[in-house]
Amino acid sequence: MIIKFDNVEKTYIAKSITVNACKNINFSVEEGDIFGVVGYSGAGKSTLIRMVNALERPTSGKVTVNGEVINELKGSDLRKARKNISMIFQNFNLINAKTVYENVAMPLILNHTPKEEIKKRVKDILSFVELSDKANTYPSNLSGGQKQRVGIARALTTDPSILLCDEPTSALDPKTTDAILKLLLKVNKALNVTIMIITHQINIVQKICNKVAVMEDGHIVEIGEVKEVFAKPKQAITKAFVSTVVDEDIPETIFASSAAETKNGKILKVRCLDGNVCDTFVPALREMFSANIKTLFMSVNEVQGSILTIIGLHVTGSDDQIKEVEEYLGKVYEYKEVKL
Amino acid sequence: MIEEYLKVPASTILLSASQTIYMVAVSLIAGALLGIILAIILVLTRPRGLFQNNTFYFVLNTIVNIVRSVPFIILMVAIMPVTKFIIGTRIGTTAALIPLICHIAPYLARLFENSMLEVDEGIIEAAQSMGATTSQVIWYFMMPEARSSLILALTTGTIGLLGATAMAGAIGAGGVGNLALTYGYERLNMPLMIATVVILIIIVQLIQSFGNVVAQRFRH
Repeated sequence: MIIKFDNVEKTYIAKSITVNACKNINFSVEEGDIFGVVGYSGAGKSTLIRMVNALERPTSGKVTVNGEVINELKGSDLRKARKNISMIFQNFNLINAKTVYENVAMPLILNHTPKEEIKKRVKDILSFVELSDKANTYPSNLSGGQKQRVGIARALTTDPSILLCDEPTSALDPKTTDAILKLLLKVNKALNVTIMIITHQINIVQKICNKVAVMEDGHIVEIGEVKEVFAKPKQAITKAFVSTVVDEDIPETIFASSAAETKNGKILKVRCLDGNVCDTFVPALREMFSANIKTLFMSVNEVQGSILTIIGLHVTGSDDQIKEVEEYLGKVYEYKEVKL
Repeated sequence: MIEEYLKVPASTILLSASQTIYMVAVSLIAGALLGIILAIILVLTRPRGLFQNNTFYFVLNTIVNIVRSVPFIILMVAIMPVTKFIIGTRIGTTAALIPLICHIAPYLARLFENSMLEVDEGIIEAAQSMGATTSQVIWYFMMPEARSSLILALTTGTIGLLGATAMAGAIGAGGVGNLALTYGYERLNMPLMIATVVILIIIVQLIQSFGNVVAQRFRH
């Protein structure tokens, strides 16, 4: 593992009030991951990501990065370690008084790299982020998306093994966000850079992350493979996040009329992460069981190359007939009964 | 013709002008150097600064405040022993440099400090995340970002300094301000007084415009 948090706690003391920013954090990020940390503002995500490059230090516990306990490093050892952990920011944090070229060259200038080498490296990296024609432009003349590309280019010049992204797309419009996410995916795949992203936009996680941790109130309340978490969100906050990108509400009118239709029936919501089951799921159930099964609702979502389907079923019949169906669903899928 | 109208020899006017230029130039250069050093120290040691040191910051901050609150005319007299020690005399144009520097350095330090504090903390954070040393943070990140603002601060300082040199006449430093006071005001020479004041106004305008233009050029 490339990043590892062991029993990390972080408390701030501000005007004699102790604030717990991070509590009992234990997790690790594997090489090649695109690891998303999602949570509302104030959940502690910013503090969490800043402990990876020791911009913040834990009150207790340790953060191991590339085999070194980064929160114990100081001075030149820390600076050396940081050159292998790059970071991009929500507000880009470019030097406005310097051109795109100078901004991207900055990490190398700090390393006293020879000029010729810098020239070559910056040229390569600018073409990688598709900004070759903007080398002599100042940041104020760039769009938000272009600024973030410069940020990414600057982060990549030193060939880091880790890229930390602090809300990288929160200041961008949806179209630009998609372009930046594509670029981050390219950074991960083509340059083999491990990426850690903190965000409050769950759709970013859905689009590019393979793993996700959900933070609430300084705790990690849920963590796992993105498709697992999306298929079976456990905590209320996770469900709330997932429901913003995965449509899972049976439209109320349909729900109400179905519920009114017959007394002896149940409305069940099934989540399956099974590939495409649009055609086959309900017919198969009908063949297996004698209960009357009607589809009320279906939403099909792509999560990390898997298809997550949410199906609203109206099952009517005798109690035994309904029970049969429920037992089967309980064994094979994640389902719950929905009531008005 | 000018001599007749203003009723002072041209050589006196030229001498006064050269004294003012000398005092402003030397004390500006020395004061700016001292000011930027003090400003960097203040920015680094302040709470949440890169080298936070509460005691040091408190002491330096207080000294800057005290020196800034002493009226220049009092400051000139108060530090006479120091002036005597450094320059060898308490009066004259060169002797005025010491109080002028003492006056302008803390003033510029405060203005420079404000300029540097305006730099977005995110940029400092970006610098740190790249593994920059403290001097690299200052040189490659803070200074370029604060450049325009620093130039405007320097412009304000220069104009303040020009005003202070007028009072330096009190310790025999001469200068344009002294010319206006002694030959103009005290001898009831209205044309001379107006002429010097108009010239001072023009010079101040020129300094300010020059500062604005340079600052604008550095703003991208």
